[in-house]
Amino acid sequence: MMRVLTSIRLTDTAQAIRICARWLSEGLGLKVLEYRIGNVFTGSIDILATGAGRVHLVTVNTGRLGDALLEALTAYRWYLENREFLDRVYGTEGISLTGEPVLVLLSNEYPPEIRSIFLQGLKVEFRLFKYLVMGSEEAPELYVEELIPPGRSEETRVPDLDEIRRELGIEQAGLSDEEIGDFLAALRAG
Amino acid sequence: MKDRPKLGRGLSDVSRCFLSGSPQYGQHHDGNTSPAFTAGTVGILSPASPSMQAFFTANLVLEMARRRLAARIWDYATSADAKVTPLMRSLLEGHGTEQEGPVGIVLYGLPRVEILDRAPEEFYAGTKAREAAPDAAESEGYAVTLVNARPDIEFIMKSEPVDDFLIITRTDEMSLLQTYAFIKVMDVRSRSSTVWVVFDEGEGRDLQRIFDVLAGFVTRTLEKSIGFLGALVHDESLEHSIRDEKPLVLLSRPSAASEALTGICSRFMDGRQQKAGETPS
Repeated sequence: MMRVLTSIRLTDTAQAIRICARWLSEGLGLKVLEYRIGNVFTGSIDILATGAGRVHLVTVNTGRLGDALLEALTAYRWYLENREFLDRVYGTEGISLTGEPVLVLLSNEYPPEIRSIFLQGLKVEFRLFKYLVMGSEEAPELYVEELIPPGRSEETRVPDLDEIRRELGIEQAGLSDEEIGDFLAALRAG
Repeated sequence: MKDRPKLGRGLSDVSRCFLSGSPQYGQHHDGNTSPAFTAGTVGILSPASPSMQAFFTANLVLEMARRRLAARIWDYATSADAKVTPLMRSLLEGHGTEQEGPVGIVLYGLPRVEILDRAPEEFYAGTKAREAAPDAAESEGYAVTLVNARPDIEFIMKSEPVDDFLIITRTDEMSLLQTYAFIKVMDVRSRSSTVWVVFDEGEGRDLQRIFDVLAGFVTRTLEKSIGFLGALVHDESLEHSIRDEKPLVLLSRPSAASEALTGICSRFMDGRQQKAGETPS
């Protein structure tokens, strides 16, 4: 059945951060360590998370993108200056916070060419996600998509078949890589 | 004022059922009777949209009843939006009251439809749920049991074999891949089961061609034939049906969605009948 969903803009920053943190955990597989560290003067991190052996400094934009970018870069500087301290507080045997972090920005809007601007203008690794909140403030539903780097369209991406199996819930069906490849090729040829 | 049961309840439903141009089951347009519908169990699932699965199951059981076929639902769905009863609430016997055990729907002149809410584990092979069930189909005279399945691979792998599977899918690549995976598991679980495919809204696309590609691949790799029943249509009447908790096949005004749905139900019942005719008993 078709449901018509209209997007809404969350005004409660804390709520937006909570929702996005849940997606980071369930959708991206990150482990959330802490929320809202620091302050606007020294730099603040909306969500501190780890995953795949990397620290992720997450900024959730609920206002103007320029402000969120400045916040993210200030947070990055603050992290570099304080990572030994953060490691002592949040680090464990399996999690080290001393490495080079990944900056993650979740925003409901981006200007065109944002990805190439970032690639040319910044050395630090950035992952950009566009999010949409639908439904109502009381029962929001989140939709997130990652902005694909230029020159790497969806069609040319090599699909991660294990990820596809997981997303479709068909791991137990025992489909081989070759079988999936043949099936998709048959569909495209047909 | 005392709230009395309304004798007129269901009048529009009766009109809809009795004045319908569709033949009742076992009766062709020319008045000849056909062989009885084959008794059995039908597993229904829509991995991408559990709510559409519930919608389809609710309508199929009523369409069967409308054609004088005694059918019931065993509801193994676990998520709230996949359950059948919310879509039929206004029709349930004693609706508005909490009651244990099976709930029924009685429309005048039609066989009673029964819905039984069950835990998935009760349908797993080895539990002997069917034999132990006091309301076994044979003793109750139900010709068909529709299994509103928990739409995942594990349920199919563990559950008892059914006679037919009916899978509802979208037509994008990933949904079709998921459908192929389900068909493969269904085939392993129950080689003799017939698999029927329904597309969930494929307007504007060459649906038969898409199905032919899917069926061709299934035949090549699994050496199995699958059947196509058509595509559901989404329109305002479908939205009203869900909002008003009243199955689409009972809405008095015909619509593209209801025509598509009854067409799918007819093809399914005809297909099963044809299969029974081909299989020596």
